Amino acid sequence: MPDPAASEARFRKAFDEHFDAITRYCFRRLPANQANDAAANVFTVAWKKIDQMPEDERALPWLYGIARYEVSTFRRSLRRAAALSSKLNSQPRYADPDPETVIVRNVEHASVLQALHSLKHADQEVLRLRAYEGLSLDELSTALGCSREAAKKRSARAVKRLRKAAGQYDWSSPHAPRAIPKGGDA
Amino acid sequence: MNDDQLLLEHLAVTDEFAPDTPLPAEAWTRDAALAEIERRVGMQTEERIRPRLPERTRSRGWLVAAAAFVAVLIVGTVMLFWPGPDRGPVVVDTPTTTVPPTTTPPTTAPPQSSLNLPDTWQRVGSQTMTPVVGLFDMIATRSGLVAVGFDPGEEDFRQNGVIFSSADGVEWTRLAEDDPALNLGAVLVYGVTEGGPGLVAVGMGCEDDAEPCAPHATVWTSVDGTSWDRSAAAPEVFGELSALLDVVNTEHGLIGAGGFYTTVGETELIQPTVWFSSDGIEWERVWQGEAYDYSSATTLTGFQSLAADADGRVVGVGTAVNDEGEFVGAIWTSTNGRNWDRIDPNSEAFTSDTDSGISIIDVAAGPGGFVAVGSDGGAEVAIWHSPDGVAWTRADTTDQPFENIGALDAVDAIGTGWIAAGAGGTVTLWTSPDGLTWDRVHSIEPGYAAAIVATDRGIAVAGAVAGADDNHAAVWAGPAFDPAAPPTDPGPAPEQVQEDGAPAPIEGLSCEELADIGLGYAETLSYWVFYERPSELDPDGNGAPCEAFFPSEMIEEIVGGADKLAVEILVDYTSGTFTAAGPAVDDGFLCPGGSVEFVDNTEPPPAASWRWEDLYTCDDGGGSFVLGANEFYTGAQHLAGVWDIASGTDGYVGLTGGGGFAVHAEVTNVIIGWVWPPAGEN
Repeated sequence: MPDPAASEARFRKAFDEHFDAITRYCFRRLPANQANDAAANVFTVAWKKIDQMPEDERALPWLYGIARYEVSTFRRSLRRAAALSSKLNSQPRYADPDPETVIVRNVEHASVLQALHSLKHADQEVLRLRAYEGLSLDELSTALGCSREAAKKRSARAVKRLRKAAGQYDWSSPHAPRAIPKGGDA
Repeated sequence: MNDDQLLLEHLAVTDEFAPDTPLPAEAWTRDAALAEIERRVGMQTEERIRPRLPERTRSRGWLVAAAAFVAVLIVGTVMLFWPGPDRGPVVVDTPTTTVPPTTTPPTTAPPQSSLNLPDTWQRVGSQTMTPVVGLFDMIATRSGLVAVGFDPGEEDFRQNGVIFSSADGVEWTRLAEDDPALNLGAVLVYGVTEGGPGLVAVGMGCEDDAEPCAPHATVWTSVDGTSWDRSAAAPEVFGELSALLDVVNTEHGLIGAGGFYTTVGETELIQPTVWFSSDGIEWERVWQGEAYDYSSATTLTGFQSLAADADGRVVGVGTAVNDEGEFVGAIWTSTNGRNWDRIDPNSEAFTSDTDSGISIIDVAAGPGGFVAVGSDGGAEVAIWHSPDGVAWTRADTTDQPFENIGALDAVDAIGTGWIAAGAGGTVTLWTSPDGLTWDRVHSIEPGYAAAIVATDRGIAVAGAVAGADDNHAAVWAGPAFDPAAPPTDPGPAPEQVQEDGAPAPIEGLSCEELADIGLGYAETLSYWVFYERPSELDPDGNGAPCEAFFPSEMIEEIVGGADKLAVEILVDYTSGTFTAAGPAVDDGFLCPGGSVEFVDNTEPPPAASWRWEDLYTCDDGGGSFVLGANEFYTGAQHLAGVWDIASGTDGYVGLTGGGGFAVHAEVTNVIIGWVWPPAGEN
């Protein structure tokens, strides 16, 4: 029987160390008013599964894995909502729903971001975990819940697709052209 | 730093929430978050009982904000277009004269003598429907089936309208592909009906390629679907930024519904709008509801779908605001198509106890009245029934077999009952004798459903399947169901949504059926391995399924010729090891085991979703070989494809091989097939 005090101490440690990272993860993927709920959800699940949480530096990727599932569930709902009943949908089928009303600093970043948004969600998630959350392949495998080989494959796959999508732009140039959005100009 | 790292670094620069920046202003403080966590942990043991409404647990706010995305889409999509001048709601005077209809709508589904829908459920016509993104509506006509939608217009980023027809429901043909009426500017077709000169389709579009593009409600008419006329831009009728989302032919005339989109200051407004025509060509804007701010909507708003019964009652469904300004399910009704009443917007039957709100997506009329379907917060199905289009009851779906399905997308009358389609991953069908109690009758395959047509010859569902790089249009067809006597075994529960790759065709197809749907041998072999090598497809048990249905050269290209030696390789990606067994190992042409390491992703062959190459290094020091895997099908728990030997070192120089493989949960790979030694060595 786990010691309640020890469990609470473990939880508090994980919360103190990783609250910011998990919050940022959720804010990158969800509207602001939902991101807080999602982050709280992650730690709620973590509390319920405290005996499964790794003690060491693997705790954060483990939490990312929970966060990924939570966001994935949200995405299943919105993807279904977006798929065909969205009669004004002129975005790619797997367009990222997040509120990246980010102010992109310059055109070349916009190009890479646009390429990212053109990818399937699974690829976007892997790239975000690598680029934004800065996960190593081992950490990625924990977050994705797969083997390191599988994580390596998926990461290589996602980078290759990003490269292909970004390839239509000279993303190394600050003067990359911007594609005309579907249905008109922004 | 290699190129991949450089690319990731480049991407990381776009991170608005970088680790070295403060948390966003909207983020909860740690104390607030902890308080919420404590509250939720305490909440888990509570039970909630609502004696009058369907019992449902409170969805997590973030889950239910699914439609925030939709609202972003709507807002974002509209903002892509010309914002238009500031103006308030437009109130249209009711016309003082009534123009009698000059076209007679079909009163009941005409005999579908040409339809010959299959006895087993299958995807039909998918080969001709690529690369179209999706279909949005489908109807039964006097001469078969017609489905409409639009493609992404990749060349110029302007969507093109798409029309498909089928006389028998199995063979589909795209019509008017080069018709300027469907290609000029942007064309988005959302609904179709028989009427006017023959067919009437509705949607939105821009007339030219000039920028900015301000799409407006548009009507297309055709005699037989092979060529179309497009309504002229007429802002006084169709508005300057508007959409027609459905059309129906009634005893009163043709009725189309959608909305006006206007901006007042910084407020985005939608105004439910109805149009009327007696001939499909000349249209009047006959009714507009109150405009409301939809920028914070968490679901689709306005009219989405129309239906009319044999008594002339017309019903439109969608989402709008109630008196409190909350977004709720909306049902409007009319007895003449020109004057519309909103069914009590404050009724609890149209509200959600989640934060996201109700989407009413489709409605159908039949002998049993009307049934409307949709979603509660994107997480649960929502269903309403009315005997007359006026009095509505929401079905209690709490203990009904909807599993993980979050919405029903399409509904039609079948016999005296109803049939609905939804897809929380797998396109699935349910029937009901009364519109309130439902039975799952069949799960088809992963994809999306947009429309369903039930005829006396069977059922057809239109939508899309997830392709390797994008969705593409699909129609599934199969036999009818009796809502009063649903099948006792509806098959396995729907799978969760696919996130990657292409789904396999439905299980249980014969070699002949696989060949009929146009699969090549690699896809057929992948299908066989994906469904765990059913013996029905390989009666002689030699590991090469469906040999009688493909040319021998096609088969041998993948699995080798007479000199091949069988092998089975098991790969454990967790430990990075493999073991091999079979005549190829016994005769010394392949080692019994070693290590496996991922090498690279390379260009996949046509129809394959992906290709990767792994390096197999033998423990016996005999050398190594690179095994390439072409992934064709992806499922929730595994994927499958065909393999080959790309290269070898030392004792494996010149070794070739091929066969099928199935990866389970990304941990183990079962590779079966053959190797054929270098010439002269067997």
